[in-house]
Amino acid sequence: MSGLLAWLSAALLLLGASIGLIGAIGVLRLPDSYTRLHAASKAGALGAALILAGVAAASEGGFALAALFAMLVLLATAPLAAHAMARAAHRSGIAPLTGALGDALAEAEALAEADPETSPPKHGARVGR
Amino acid sequence: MNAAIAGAAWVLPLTFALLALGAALILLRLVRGPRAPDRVVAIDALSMIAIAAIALLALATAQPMLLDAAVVLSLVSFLGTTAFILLFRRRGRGADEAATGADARLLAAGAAPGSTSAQAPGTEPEARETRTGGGAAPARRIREARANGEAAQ
Repeated sequence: MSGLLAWLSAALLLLGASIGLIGAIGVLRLPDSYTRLHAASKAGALGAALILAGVAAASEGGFALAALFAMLVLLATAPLAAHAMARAAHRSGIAPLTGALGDALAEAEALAEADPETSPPKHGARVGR
Repeated sequence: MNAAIAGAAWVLPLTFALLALGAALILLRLVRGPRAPDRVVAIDALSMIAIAAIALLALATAQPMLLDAAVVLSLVSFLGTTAFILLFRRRGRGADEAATGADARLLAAGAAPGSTSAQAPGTEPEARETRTGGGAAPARRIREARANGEAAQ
């Protein structure tokens, strides 16, 4: 049982470090603030969470619980921070690189500013300022 | 505690090396990043790597009290990131940044108002205007386009 946990811990540590490195490459190489945020929030959080899981598998008792608690906090707060950051960046006027579909959030906000009564309540439309 | 990992002699240094390489790449983005959100993203990613490195250090040095530092850092990094967000709401920009993307769109819309109607000839006017619209000025254009569409019907 301990041998299995030892191998599991080593595998989780290496996998987490590799995914964290991939996220770092994405933060460096991706072309846009929002795509960099995507790489940092998903790959970075998954890498750190896997490393914490590996530490939890290698330690015992309350320390494993502490590592699992740190992992849960990280997995709960990283998407919140990424969402808030993307929304604040979009509101502060930083345009994303868009493809053929365009910037749906900017379109919804422009329609809501044009006539707030007749415009349909789109997903992503602003509720309050 | 150190014996709880299979192949600890090479797994732990390799993991530290991968984390250090990732931190160096993110640091490059932190220095280079053209706008404020890029730097905030880099700081967020660096704090995640710091959490992982502290947990690894607790494992490598067999001092599990360091795990508490990782827990506290994972709690605090969220607050730090959201505190940075308050700095760039409402057109917030640093002293070294000239114009944001919305400013470029507004300048383009004000300089050449007929240029947007020349592209995409097959689509409806409303769809074309919303496709190109973005900031505050396109709201007026969308309203005009809607009025034109209703008049045409």
